[in-house]
Amino acid sequence: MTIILTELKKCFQSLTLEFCESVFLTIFKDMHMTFENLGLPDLSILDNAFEDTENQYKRWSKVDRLTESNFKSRYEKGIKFDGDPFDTAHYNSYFGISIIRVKQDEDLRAIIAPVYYKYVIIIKFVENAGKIIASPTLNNPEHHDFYKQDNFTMDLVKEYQISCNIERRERV
Amino acid sequence: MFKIEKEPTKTSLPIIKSNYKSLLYDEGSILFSGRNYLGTRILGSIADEDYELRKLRYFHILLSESDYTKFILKKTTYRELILQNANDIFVVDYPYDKSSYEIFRLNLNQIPNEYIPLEKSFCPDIPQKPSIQYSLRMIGKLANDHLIEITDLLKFDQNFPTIIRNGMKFLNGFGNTLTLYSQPRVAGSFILNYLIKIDDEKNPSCESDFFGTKQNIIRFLSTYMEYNFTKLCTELVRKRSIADLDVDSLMNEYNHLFSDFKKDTTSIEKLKNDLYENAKCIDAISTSIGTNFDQIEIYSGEIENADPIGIIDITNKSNLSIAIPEIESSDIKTYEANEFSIRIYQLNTDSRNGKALLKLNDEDQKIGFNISGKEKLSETKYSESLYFSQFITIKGTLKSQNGSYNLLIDFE
Repeated sequence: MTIILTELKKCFQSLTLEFCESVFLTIFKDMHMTFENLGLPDLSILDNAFEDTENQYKRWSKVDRLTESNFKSRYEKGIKFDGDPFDTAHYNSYFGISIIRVKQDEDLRAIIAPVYYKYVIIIKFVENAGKIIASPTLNNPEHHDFYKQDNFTMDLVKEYQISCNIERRERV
Repeated sequence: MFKIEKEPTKTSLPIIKSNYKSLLYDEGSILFSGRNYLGTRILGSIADEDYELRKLRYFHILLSESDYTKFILKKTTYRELILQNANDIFVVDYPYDKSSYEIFRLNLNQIPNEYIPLEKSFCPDIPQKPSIQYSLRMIGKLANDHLIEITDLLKFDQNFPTIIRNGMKFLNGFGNTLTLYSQPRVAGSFILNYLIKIDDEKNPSCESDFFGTKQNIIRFLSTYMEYNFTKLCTELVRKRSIADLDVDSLMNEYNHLFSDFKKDTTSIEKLKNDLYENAKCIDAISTSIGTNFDQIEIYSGEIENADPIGIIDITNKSNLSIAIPEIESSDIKTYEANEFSIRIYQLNTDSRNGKALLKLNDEDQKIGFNISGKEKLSETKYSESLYFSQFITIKGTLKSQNGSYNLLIDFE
């Protein structure tokens, strides 16, 4: 890197080393993140993915805290894919982590599986956590897939608020 | 995961062997359906996961075709179906790799209350795949013996194609013609199959669909059929008027698919009148509900793989049989003006009936007419209008009903 920077400095004699470094980092910013471990067969889908450290997202948990296993994709866990392999949106989601941008209130999944989707955790991502792709479904227009970068750790997710998704009123 | 104080059951009855379909998913399936080795419908959902044992737990229930249809059409909830199957809830535990399974047949009391789906657990919206194939399945009574009365069969063959043709009529102008075929009938309970073929009028032998028009026509027809068998009946019963029918969903789909071909208000009026004609067709089809069969399910696509797009049951039948006569009686309009300007283009001098163009509010309206009296019609102003394509002034009474006009001409 120093060799490249020295070469750049030679080219732009009048520019400072700091300036060259910032140019370099801007150009090669994406090189910080690699996605080889995702298992995604077609990494080109990430070309249209974006980083988002501004918006808040929802993630579900059956326990009232954010755990590492909660941030493992089904592929990582070794769970067999159970959807339609010809539905690319569904297939890609299998390698990502489902998150919902905080806009939508009612959530059908917690109604169908009240224990599995018991808690909702509001999160924000730190820079270089990974990339996000909007993957709206008919029932969930705010659905997104989060793809972890290879060196992802839970420190790259900020936890904001945890609440119980369902207030169970009915009795069987 | 909750503990089950019971040995696993040795059965594969609740295991999905074919027609697996995710009804709701994110990373994996949350709600899904399929068929077991006997072909019985199964509805299932994710219930829990054990991170340490690396296991996923699902609930599966076996459903009759009619219960499944009710669920798909949001007439019942997943919770209601679970409560209905209270003694036969199958808990299926899979290891992550799904290489094996353990099945427990439980009753509702053996499942912690917090796991039971909630009251609003209706089936999510499922995108229907547009299809050129439609099927009608009769269920119950005679149909369960794989029989249908010939009079019922004739009603189906006469009325169901009318509904499809009315949809196609709305799309005229794209230079395509539609042919409807009947496919071999299937027992189970009693299934009628129809196939639509859309040809390019200009190039009947040309199979290509370069601009995607045919595909868009099929997509619109699909939405149109869904509207007829889900929304139309409710709309007519609620509004009791043709003019007030809410056709926004249909128009939005049309505008989305054919953005370059906007429809004017006259076409929308015609669409509403056609929908009313469809309601009468549905009414005719449903005559034998309650006597020869219990209900009719409508499918788009191959019936084994498709979900129903609509249902006609005893409620629809009784609602339509009340709403239609009410609309009929309220919708007849009589025009007081007794002088009209018409140009006859078809005349039967024996029956004294014919067709003509009528000038009404500066527009030419196609009408049917009948000429009173017994006098000969040859060499009269009526035959003159026919031969010389001339507008003539006549006296008579004009009645309109559901967008169609009829003129009773006083012979002079």
